[in-house]
Amino acid sequence: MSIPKTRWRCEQFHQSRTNANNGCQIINAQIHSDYEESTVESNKDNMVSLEKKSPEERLNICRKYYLGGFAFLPLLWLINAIWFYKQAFKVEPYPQQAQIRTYVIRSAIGTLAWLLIITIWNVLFQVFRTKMGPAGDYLTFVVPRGYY
Amino acid sequence: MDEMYISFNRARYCVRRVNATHEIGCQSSSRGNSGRMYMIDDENEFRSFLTNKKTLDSIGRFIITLNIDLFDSEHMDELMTRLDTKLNGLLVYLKSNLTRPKHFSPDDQCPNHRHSYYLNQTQAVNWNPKGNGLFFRSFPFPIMLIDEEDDYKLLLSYYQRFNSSQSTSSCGLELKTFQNAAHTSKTCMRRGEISHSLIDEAETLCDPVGGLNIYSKLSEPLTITPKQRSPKSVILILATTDSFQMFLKANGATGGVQQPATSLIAFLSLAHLIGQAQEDLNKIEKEIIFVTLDGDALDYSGSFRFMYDMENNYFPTDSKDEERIRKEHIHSVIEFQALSFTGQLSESNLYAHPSNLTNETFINSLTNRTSTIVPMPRDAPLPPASSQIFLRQTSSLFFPVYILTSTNQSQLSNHYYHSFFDDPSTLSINISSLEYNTTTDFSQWIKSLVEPLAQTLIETITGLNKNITIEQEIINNLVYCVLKNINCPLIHNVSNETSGNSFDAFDQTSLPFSVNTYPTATTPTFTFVRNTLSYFLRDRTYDGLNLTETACKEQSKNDSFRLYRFVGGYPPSISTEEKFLGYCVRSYYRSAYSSSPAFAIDKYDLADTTYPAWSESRWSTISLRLFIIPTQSHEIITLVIGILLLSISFIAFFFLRYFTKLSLLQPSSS
Repeated sequence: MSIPKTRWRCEQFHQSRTNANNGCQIINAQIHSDYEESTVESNKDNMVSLEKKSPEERLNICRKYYLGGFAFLPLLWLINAIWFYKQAFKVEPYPQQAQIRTYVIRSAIGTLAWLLIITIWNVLFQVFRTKMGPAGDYLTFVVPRGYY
Repeated sequence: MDEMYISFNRARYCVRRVNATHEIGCQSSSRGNSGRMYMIDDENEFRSFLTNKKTLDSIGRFIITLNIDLFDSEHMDELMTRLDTKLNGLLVYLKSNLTRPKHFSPDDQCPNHRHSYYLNQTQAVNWNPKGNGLFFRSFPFPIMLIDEEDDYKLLLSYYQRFNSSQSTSSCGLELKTFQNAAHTSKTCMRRGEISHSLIDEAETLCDPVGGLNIYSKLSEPLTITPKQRSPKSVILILATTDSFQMFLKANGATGGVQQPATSLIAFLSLAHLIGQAQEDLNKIEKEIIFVTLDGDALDYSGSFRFMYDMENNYFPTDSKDEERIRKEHIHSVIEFQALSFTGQLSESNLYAHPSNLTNETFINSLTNRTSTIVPMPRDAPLPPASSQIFLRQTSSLFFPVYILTSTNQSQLSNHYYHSFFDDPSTLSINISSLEYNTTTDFSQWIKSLVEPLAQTLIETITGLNKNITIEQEIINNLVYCVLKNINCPLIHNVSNETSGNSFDAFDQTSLPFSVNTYPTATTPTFTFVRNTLSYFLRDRTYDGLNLTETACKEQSKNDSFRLYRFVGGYPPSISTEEKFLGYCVRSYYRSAYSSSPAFAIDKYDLADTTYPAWSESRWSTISLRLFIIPTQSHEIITLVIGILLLSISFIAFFFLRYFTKLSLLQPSSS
């Protein structure tokens, strides 16, 4: 972001040692607010807002996340379920909503299934790591030193 | 106190070792074990400490500082049961070298009973009755030992200054001896080989115990095919080169003087005597092979490997055409083991087994020649010795063994068996005043021991009665080199230049006797034994040849069995009149790895107890530090002041920001 000309003028005020603090403050406040506005706008530009998309586009995004989750990416399903929850259940109905609803429900089920699998494996590994013999050691990524 | 920590750099530490079924030794956490120091000096303090409920409940973690006199299994068991998880570490101290305990041995009462000749017999003989067996126990906390007098005095001064009452601050200790090994050898070795990818390198956690078995003999005659070796034509002379101690110190005394240093000195002296008589011995078809075994202190690993090599035609190694030696070819085995010198009238005991194979004439002529060797009754139980494995692996059907050791009514004379206290003072040697050629009572005793043995051996083999003697100077030099300074003129005289230079790093240290692991750490032991043994058994006809170094190298081109090296020459050993600047040494020696067959056999399950499978853990930093634990009120005040300072700084900042016109968030001018 380039430094606006108002800033330079402020510097010159200080150097001439005139009592122009008030002027400087106002200009600083302007710079501050300018900065805030620009960042807020730029943020808004980066984030996808579902309201601005057409229903077809919304369905497209939802479908992409749903299909992507099958590639062993449960986080995509989690995000799909949370993000499109409002679209699927809370907004006024539109033609694509039914399909979005099925995707959201299936994503939620998938997330729960993955959560179950991961938790069970975690517990089993921690309990049976030493009892599995060599298999336990070969599955461990960071082999513990000094303790069994 | 100016510093935050006081370090004790000369402390000894206890490490982890693992075998097929157990782990032994001590382990600390990776950041070190710390706790409040509590000193227990004698039995009364020990009793009062255990019953002092107030102290025990008020303090969370203890590091008990224990007098070495109280370091035995009863006190340890009581302490561990009473304190349970509160015992975070143990520091054992020795007040001064003059007050060392009369007996101290962390080995078992029956050493090496796990793999002995008498495995299935119910009645065990307690050869080491004062052994507390603590070496073979596993402790979940670190144990360290301070044996320097000034370290003890420093520790005591801090303890007395700070521990006078409950209200003042107290001393704390931090012991850091983190060991990498865990569970058993099998687990440790397996984990040491796991590597998941190219960027994840395998990290070795433990090393198998073992060094080198070295053997040497007179360089003539050799049984080269098609010449067949006749049965019962080989006599083996054995000695070991290792020991262990519960408390290790980097660059410190390792102990091991009464076993194996004395045996090694006697062994090398006997080798020299046999070398002197080579003219007569070379005419006979029998061979005397001198063998040093490494790794026998821990379940006879070296002996098992030697017998395994023999069974599998690997003895002798590296000789393509030389006829292999098997158990049928062995005539007898003579071993030097645990020789102790207790005074000028010291005796050593001769054990022989089995009685149906032993040569009574040999025993009688040996014991008649000298009063220092006393025969033991027939079928007396054998002391812990490598020969037990030789008998066991051959079911005692092939050859007899003769063990020369120092025992006193079925007890080893060594009070410090396998501990670091086993130093030259136990041989009545004043090590500080020992010079290169000092004649001590001990070296005279060795002379009186090996000369009759050599004479009897030669008589048994050749039938000649030769009154062979060894120069006292040679034994004096050996004693100096082994017990005081390995970088001595003897080793430089018998080694070539490169070998000799490797000893400069060990100047003013004695020969270390400790657990050797493979890959071998830098230890001078094997080079010393190899060079000295092969020199003493060298072909003495070459002493009269004035060969240059290049001529010596030329000799080795035609001979694949013997080794040639060019050395400066060791004067007491050279009997020719003409002296040269350098000598070509023609000798025969071989080295073989001495790690247990468990590590040599392909696809051997390390959990199997057929062969011992000892491994020693690896470790990185060892440290012992003392610090001051402030009182409760001191800690609270520090915390409160800290929080106050934090809040004050926040408040001051807000004030500055709110009331002054300076904006500290101004973007900088470019």
